[in-house]
Amino acid sequence: MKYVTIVNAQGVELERHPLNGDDHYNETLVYAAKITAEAWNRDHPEDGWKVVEIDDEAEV
Amino acid sequence: MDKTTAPGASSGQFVDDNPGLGVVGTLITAADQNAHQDELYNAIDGSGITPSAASNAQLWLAIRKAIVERSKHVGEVFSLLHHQAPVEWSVANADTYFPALCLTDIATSAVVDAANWGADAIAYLRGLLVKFKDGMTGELAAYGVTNWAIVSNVATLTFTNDADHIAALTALLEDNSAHGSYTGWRTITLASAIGDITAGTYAITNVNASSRTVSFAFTASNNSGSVTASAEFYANRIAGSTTTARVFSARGRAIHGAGDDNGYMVNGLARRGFGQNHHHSTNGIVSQIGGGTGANISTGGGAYFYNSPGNVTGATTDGVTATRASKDTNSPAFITHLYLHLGSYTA
Repeated sequence: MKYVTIVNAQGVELERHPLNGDDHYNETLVYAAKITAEAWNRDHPEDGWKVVEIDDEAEV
Repeated sequence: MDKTTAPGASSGQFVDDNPGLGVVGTLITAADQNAHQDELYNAIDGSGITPSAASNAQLWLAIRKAIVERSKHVGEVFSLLHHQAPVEWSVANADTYFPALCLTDIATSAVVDAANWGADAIAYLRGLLVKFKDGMTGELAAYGVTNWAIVSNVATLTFTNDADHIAALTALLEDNSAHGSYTGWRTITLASAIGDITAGTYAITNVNASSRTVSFAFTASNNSGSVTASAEFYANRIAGSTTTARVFSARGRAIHGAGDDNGYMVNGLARRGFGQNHHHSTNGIVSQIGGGTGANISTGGGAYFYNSPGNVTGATTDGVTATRASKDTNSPAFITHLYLHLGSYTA
């Protein structure tokens, strides 16, 4: 399964949201995660939050 | 008021007395006189000017006042080439009366109140909903809430998990990033209680667009639950006040039309500058210094480099100046002061 995650500079994952078969939903969610991570970095730039898309099956 | 029907009138016109021709002039009636008086009086009184026996030049003042106040809609944004502070109405200020707020005067946000701008203007501002896809198919004004929680006197609402709610909250969070902080920012309104959270308007302290949550201060015991409810965002409301509204800065901002396909352009909200996504690619081949080929790349020693055809160069210039670079991405612009017409102003 594919997910969009928000992780910090140390690799700690704070959010994980599953992607699905709806491209519009997925694009919206990924964009939302980027804007969210950016807002966190505004308030705490030392945390280095970024969006990472992962694929569970690819990790196996 | 209509044309006269007094005895002796002809087709609604007054007729002079002419004994020589046997014409009897139109009778001056109280109805006609009162019609004239009331018409003038109502124009003066309706403009907000107090009718006075001391002046017979009040109708012209009333017309000038009404033109300034009603030639634009309350809430209309307009521009002027010069900076202008608001000017209250007075006979002496009839030509300079300016019941509009300069949005480019505001650093981040400003509070306007009914005492200065009138109850109608405040009611207008307080009634402006943040509508996702306003006027379009899929318009969303009441946002679905699926969960609520109170932890350490902070209430958090979780919104419906679909693309529209995620996009709407992204637009709201983008507005927060454009604003720069949660201080002096937007509010959330609960028309009815949600779980243990009572109805009311609350100052937002956090938005998470990907988790679809909005948080605000609410003093109560920790608790949580699932719910089928809704919440609204009024763009200019202030928590705890019905006589004030918050207006946001337009400094350095361009005006965009609302209604993009994704719904990110929400009227009343702000966005930062954006550049469209793009990437650079190379088409060079990898060569080994000394004449080796790409096949050796994993085993050969020494340095490897991309041949010159693969170099990524700078952006193309316009042939006149070097490439322009800026903190924001801007389109060519015409720069003016932006004003919000609020209909009346008292200093």
